[in-house]
Amino acid sequence: MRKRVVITGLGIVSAVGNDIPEFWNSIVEGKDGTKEITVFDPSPYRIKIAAEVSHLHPEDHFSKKEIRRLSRCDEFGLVAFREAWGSARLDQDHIDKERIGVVLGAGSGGILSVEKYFRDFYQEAKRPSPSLLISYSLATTTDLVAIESGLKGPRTTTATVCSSSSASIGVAYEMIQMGLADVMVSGGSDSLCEVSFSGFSSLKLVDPESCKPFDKRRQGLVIGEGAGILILEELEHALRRNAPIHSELLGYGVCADAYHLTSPEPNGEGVERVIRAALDHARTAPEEVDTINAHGTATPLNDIAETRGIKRVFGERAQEIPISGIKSMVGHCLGSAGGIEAVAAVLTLENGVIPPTIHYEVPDPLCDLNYTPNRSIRRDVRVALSNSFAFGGNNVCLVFGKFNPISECRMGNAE
Amino acid sequence: MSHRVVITGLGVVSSIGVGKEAFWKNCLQGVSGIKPIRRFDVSSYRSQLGAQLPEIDFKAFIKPANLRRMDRVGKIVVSAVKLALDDSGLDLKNEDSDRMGISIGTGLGSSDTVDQFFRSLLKDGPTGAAPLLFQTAVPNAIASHCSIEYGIKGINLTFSHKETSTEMAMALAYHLLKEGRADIILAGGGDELSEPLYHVYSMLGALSPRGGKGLEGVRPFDQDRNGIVLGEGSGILVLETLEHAERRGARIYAEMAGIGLSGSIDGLLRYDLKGDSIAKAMSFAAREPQTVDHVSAAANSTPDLDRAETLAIKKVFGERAKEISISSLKSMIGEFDGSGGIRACGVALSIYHGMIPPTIGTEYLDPECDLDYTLHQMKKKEVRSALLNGCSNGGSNISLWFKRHCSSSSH
Repeated sequence: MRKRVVITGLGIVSAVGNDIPEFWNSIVEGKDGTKEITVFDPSPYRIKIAAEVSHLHPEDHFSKKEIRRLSRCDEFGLVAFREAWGSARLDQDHIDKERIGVVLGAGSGGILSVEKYFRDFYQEAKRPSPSLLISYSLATTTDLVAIESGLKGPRTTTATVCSSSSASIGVAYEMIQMGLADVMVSGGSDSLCEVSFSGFSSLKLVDPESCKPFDKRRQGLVIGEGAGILILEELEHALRRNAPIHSELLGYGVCADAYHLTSPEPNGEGVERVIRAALDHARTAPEEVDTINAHGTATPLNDIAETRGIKRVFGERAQEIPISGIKSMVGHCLGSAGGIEAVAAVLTLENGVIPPTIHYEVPDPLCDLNYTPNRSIRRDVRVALSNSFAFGGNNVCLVFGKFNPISECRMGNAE
Repeated sequence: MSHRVVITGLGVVSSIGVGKEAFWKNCLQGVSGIKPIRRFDVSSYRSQLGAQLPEIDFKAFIKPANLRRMDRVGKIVVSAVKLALDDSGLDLKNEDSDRMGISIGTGLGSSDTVDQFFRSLLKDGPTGAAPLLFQTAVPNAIASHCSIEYGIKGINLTFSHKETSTEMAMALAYHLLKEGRADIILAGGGDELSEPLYHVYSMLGALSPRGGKGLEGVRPFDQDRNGIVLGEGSGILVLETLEHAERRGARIYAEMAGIGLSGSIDGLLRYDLKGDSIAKAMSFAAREPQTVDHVSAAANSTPDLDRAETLAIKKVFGERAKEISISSLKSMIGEFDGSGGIRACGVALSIYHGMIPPTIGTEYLDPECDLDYTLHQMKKKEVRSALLNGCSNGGSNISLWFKRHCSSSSH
């Protein structure tokens, strides 16, 4: 018999807000987080914009000594984690920290610090500080989060870039099912860096102006950064301590396109499979899905494949499901995208407001669903999907439901 | 309904043998893969040793069209996948690709490719950035190469958490198979010993001889142990539900029957200093502790870990601890984040053949390390069950429990 898992804490850092209220207000209002890059010198690049995190001052959150050792990715992860942890009220109770673990998704991790080191080492042949290399491993942010709060449960890091912090949520769910933890910190963190920025640019997947998911004029991503943290908790444990419950994680699906290293399977077959696998795992019928937080990268290929995949699952009804492409506002946050978008999906369910896809002006005949253009929609929603598809077709779909304490029939005794 | 999970194929690409047979033969004989590093210039470093792979003709394992797109670490792992699949006797044409999965662990993935990419950026600016390098530079490229090469469309996971990367990949695979979410999952992973990676480990002071004291080398549990020697390679297990394996008459090496996952909080680059978390992980994993005859150790010739793991084994097994044959395979293949897959293959073979590989390199045991580490010589011994430990510096501790599989036709 499966354990039910709910979300009891949320934390965020993003281009449109450095805490949940600011983030949510921004995306509901359709605010665009795209700005000129300051994290590195953009002048050699044709494209000079990114959805960069702004007005987050490390001195407000960390000591000078900590700042010397922390990467930008670590900082985002810790700030978002502290918000989630605080809001979950886990420190106020007699909680067994042996049964609280951490799984975060990583993209490039602390690579900005590593770039600093190797730039000095290769170009100036000077001896940069080895402490910049502490962040070389993708495990670093995960370990810092666990060590800061003394969490002794299971610990790992997923590493599938664009779907990494969605996969982390699925893995965290499983660790609760394994009986090894009652609470799991999940989601992920990622920062801008030259390697990712130039890599995506070299693949011609970046839009020079803005991110326009599903729009005919779309040219691709705006790279973003930030952190989205979700605290997953076993239901009985949450109820016993009167935890705040935002939503229920009903299930998830993971699968592979097995098609190409960077392009999605064009007919939406991989998208269809992962959505079906997620709904199956969540014991949720397609008819119950009220909204989809799309992967929506605004690459010419993804948006078509995703549209086709959604239609394959939902048929005629697909037209009635409002889809949110919030990468139009927060950018493609790579290793933290899954976490940030999952937070948005949970807030959608909790607040009954579906965020918009902004910059939507010219419809594409090949993308003809309802993408909640430019303005958010007020609607009571029961089930929200969140899609994340990574390079190589590493697909993840998360199924969140409005928490209903009486829904026993879904989990049932029949396994 | 809970499924039992068994191991039906092994793929090993290691510095002491490519392929299960060569690896196992050399392993039992205590052959060391550790030699002066040849692949790149280490003359400016204090440390000179590493366990590097021999030259491998990857065309023997991978289709040319896919080979072109892979970097070296990708080729290493996909070759191990090929070896594992061949060893398992699976005919993929008869399998449902949705019910097959991949679960890979890699600590530092394409460190060399990322470095090459970055250097081309520094040299030529953004126009120097090569998209073909970038697409294979992401950590999940390895799993993608595997899924594309073999048309594997089910579960697809990549973990990157230092020295527990492959252990977590195998633990999740086990859990998902147990839950019936797949019939077969190829699990394990690997890492390569690249020049930039070597530089980073050296600058962080991890390599033997740390602090410049003593001789360079791997000597687990030795009183003069002074840091790690890096290695590289890949190990892949074919994990399968028991019903699926029996239905196709597969040879079963061992059963995977328990996992333990725990975290320690001693500090960012510190192991579990008191061994409590390692002990917890082993206790969770070993459902029948009285049957544990062998432990494949995480010990890696560092002062902290070798001591902590010894403490942990004593905590869990008490008096019985002295009866358990412990081996450190890292004494032969070196330390690398992705070593767990190869070590798991070793455990499967130990159980299947009733043989324990030796720990080599150790000369004078640390008085605090007073258990049986199977020093220098292999041991013939029936193994009812065994534990594989993985411990990361930073605090992830994992133990996997494997037991002998007795089919109805055997004793």
